[in-house]
Amino acid sequence: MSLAFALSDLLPPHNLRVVYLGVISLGIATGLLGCFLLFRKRSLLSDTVGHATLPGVAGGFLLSSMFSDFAGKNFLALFVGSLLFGWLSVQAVQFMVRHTKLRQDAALAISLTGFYGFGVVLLSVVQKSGLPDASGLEYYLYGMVASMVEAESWMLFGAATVASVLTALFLKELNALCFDEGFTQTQGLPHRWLDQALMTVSLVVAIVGLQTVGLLLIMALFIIPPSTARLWTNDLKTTLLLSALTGALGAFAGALLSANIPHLPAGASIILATSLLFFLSLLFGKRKGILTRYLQFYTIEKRLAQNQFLRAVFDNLEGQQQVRLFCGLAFSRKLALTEFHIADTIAKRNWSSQKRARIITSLKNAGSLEITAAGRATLTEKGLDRAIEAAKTHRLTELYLMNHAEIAQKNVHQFVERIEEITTPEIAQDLRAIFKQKLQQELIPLEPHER
Amino acid sequence: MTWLTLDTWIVATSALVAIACVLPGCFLFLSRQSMMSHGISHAVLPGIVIGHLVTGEVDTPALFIGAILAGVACAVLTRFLQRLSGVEEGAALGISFTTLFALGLIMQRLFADNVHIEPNHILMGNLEVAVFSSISPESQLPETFIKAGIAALVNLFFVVIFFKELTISTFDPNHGDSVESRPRLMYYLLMTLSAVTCVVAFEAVGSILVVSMIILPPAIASFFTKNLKHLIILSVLFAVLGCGLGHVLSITTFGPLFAKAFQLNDYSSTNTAAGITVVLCIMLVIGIVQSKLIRKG
Repeated sequence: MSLAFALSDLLPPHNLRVVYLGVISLGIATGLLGCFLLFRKRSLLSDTVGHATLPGVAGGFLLSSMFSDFAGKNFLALFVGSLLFGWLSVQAVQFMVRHTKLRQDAALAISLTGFYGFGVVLLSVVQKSGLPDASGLEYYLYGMVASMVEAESWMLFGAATVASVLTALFLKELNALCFDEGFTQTQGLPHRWLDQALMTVSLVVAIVGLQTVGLLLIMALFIIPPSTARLWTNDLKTTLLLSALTGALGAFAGALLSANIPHLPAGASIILATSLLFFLSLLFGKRKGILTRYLQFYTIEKRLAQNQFLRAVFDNLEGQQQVRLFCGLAFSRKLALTEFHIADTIAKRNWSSQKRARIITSLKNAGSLEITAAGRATLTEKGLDRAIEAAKTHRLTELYLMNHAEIAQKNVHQFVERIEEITTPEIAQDLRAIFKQKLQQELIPLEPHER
Repeated sequence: MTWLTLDTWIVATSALVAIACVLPGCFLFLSRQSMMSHGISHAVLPGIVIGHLVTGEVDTPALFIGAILAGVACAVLTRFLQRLSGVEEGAALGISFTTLFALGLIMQRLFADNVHIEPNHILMGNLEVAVFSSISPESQLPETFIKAGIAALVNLFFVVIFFKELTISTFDPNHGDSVESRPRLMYYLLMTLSAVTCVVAFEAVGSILVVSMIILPPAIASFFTKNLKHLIILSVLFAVLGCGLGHVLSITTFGPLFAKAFQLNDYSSTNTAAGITVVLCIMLVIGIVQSKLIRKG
């Protein structure tokens, strides 16, 4: 007895478990479907659909009280009404975009307020009709997360299962549909049918969710998780997985917080938890994160400046020896390791004294440079290797541009500077393959534009 | 039908609100930011709550200022997200306004739960109630009428003074940059005015129907003209016409119509703001049909 008791003590109470199951399912379903909405640039459609269901709710109520004697909100009538008007609003948007000159944003806004306005008219009829149980109908669209019942929770679970299965089965077709509609048509894939299926499933999820968690939370869950996933990856499968994960995690965290902090509304805290995930991804995301991109930029900047410095040292020493000792067959590493004067070496670069100091420090830390006396330094063996590498790649690029891209000799230098930051090791490898013969004659070619 | 003085006030107030909405609305519509008005009208909530928390009162200008700042914050955040994360504009707007709204809701529940903000009132608005609160006991002049009038005047001045700059920044911001007409400043000014207008229109028509006042008249007018000046003038005319017709139909037709359709005995007037929206939608349909006929004929 004690074990079972302890276990049930650890688990959250039953009504909370119902809520967790419901919101996590919802997060997964919207996370998956939202990706396709985002790819098709229809994110705000969930907003329009959500608002446009109002006449369905009011009309469903009026119809059901007209045809049946029993008083009360007939769940099925309201659901079918919402579904009908949600579907109508999508059709209205598509009609306006396809057949009139109205653009998508205007079509969404018009459909949203048009249907909502009609809904409010019907609602004021309801309110003044004196029908029993009419009060509270206007709150129908602003569901309460905390009062979710078991049936609703299982419905959301079912919706999540359907969404996952559909996504897994038709991944290839959906991929084609989202990224190249024309291609889908030419390949004979079920393009119209699939589009309608996708919209219908999204609609059902939105409306089931609407009545349990409310309009704003639904649209937040349709929009934020996919946008979060896009900050991390370009790959469709990973996007879908990450998006479903974000939706589930945000929903669970929000519900957990709201269960433990009194007065904290669950819907709003789920939105905030999910958007917190978004903003964290905006900073650290692998693909588009601000800090990530800054770090990449900083790394490239640093490598570029180091290479430029090392090349300047190399060119300078080469020039000082009068004969091209480093080049051709008579290359001597020993001579290359002589001491040089820093300021003279990089006189051609107009680097600020701070930047110069930064580069020297970073090279010293990397073990490429040794300071011998004030203002003087030598390359280490490692530094020399890097300098040779940098000079070689630079000169080969110049040769390439002169021979293959027909850029005049006197201009070639500035072109190389411009493309230097994108010269990756792979490109350097290719260059070496192109100038194989030349490299057999001379280990390091001369500066081509100074010849 | 019995026409009371109150009915005149309702039509006059709604017409002023509509004029105030349409003026920035034309530019929002043309620069493909129709949904921005919807976003702003939700995003004002945290501003209102912060305004209340700072001053500790319910009826102060601080709430008004807070709402406007929050509305502008929504526009700024949307632009920022779109530029930094590269998500499409709709998604950026969705993220920023749902987040702001949730923030406002949580602040209200945690710190200002005693202030009751009626969702029904905010979301649907109630012109019939709004005109009751007059500026002084003696006069019948409704407060909303004065506010909407000021907003309409301010917007009118703005559009007249900055007509050239607004036109450039709406159609070609890059050109605007090159001729120094400050397209970004114009954008933020336009957003500020939209926020002001949304907040004023809030009380009268509610946060969702305000979108119809902002977007529908320019959308209807766009089927009749291509000239920007004509578009603005036509929009204003359509908006005013919509307000008059909307109210008349609301007190005479919609109620009995639906009561009959659903076999109800009691009927009375329906919500005017919603009636105006429905009338504007019908006008839009006429506009669409008209444009199709002309193209065929």
